[in-house]
Amino acid sequence: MNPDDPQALESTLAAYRRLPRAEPAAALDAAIRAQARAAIATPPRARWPILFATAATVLLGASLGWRVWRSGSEQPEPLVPASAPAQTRAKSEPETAQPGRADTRELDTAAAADAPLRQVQEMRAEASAPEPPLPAPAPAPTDGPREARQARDAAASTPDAPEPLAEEIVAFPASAAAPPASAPPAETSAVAPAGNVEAMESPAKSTVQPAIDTTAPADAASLDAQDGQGEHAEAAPSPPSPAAMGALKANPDAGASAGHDRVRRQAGDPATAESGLQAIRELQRQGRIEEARQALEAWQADWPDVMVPDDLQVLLQ
Amino acid sequence: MLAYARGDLRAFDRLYARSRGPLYRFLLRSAGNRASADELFQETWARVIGARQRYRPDARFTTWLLGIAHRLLIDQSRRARPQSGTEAAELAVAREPAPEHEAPDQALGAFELARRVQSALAELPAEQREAFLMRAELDLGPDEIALATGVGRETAKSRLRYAVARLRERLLP
Repeated sequence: MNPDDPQALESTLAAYRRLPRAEPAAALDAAIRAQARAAIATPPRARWPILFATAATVLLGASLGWRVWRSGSEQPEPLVPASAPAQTRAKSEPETAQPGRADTRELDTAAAADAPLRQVQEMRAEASAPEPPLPAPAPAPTDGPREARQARDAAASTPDAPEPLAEEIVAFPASAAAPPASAPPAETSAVAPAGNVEAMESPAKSTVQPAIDTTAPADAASLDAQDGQGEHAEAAPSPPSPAAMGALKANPDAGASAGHDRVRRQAGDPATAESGLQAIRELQRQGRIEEARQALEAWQADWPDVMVPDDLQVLLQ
Repeated sequence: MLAYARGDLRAFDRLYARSRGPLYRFLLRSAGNRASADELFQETWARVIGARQRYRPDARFTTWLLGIAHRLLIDQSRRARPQSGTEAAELAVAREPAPEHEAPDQALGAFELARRVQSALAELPAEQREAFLMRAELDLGPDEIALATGVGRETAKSRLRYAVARLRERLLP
């Protein structure tokens, strides 16, 4: 028998086809059709929301667990608000002797006079930044110099009088405020005590005082000496220190122009009137009569209520 | 099948009506009992419905359908070893309802023939039986049988040839 014989295959298939033709039950047909209908009615469910939710849950759980573990491992800290250290530091700063810090105590020290110009600029930046209010300034000296008070009153009452010293210097750039090293320090030394008085009254104004002090570092000794006489500077015009006079003699030209400017700039300072006169006398003594006359005219404009000394009357004639 | 995948339920109805009988008999005579045949039949169609979006018309739908049924049969036979023997196959055939239009003598002859065919099928190796049933129920050729069962063409052809030879020996002595 040949298995590949088509007749053999057909006869076998014919015998098979005589078997009962079984069919699936009607219930089975209905179940399958219902399943096919339901599959079409509901679109295939997207898997990404499930995956996303699972990933988010795992991530959330991990982060929460890490936080709990970290908080458990850390040492318990005292319940201090986060801003407390900053406030404490801010409170302690005025009491801490930091170089370049603009407060009255700092201004009274000779170290501030020796501070470089860079520190002065930093102090200006700090002064311009908003700061918590400093402690109330010490009361103005009731037994202060009468001339100083008179000078302040005159500056405040005179309409065309220049602004007080410190306010003018605040508006003055640091480079302009810093004269050459050979600038006559006598004027600065002469006005320094009055500047301290201003600083005592107004902390904001006091921040610029080191700029004046640093322009004449050689005069720190005179500042010290005057501060040593008392925090409330005596109004009596102090004579220029020997060092300042030496510097003025070394460069009288610079001293003249700078002195003229300073006389005007520091108007309102009670000690400036006498110091300006001293500078004018120095110019006169050097024979620079015209400059002395111009300086005296400027001095008169700044001090209209102060009589010109007799020895300088000749310059006005 | 593509129409059904796009949502045409009537296409599925036509497909099901055309394939339900041959598939069911293929499963019934391969598994040897109705319960397994019903289970496999429903599972086969469930997989067809679930895989409707992945269907590619690379071959006839019948080939694809029998491929699914073939894998389910293999899984079922692995779970249900030892396989049902000849007695179980004869019992399953005996439970088949006899055609009512047949005369008693013809019915007796048909029943005897069916018993002998079923017995011969049960004695065939599973691979040869599947190949023969695919050819007899769904008219698959050697290539399609090879595709559905995952074997080479020559293997499928050989299986079919040996199945026919053994059946002839039993049915036509």
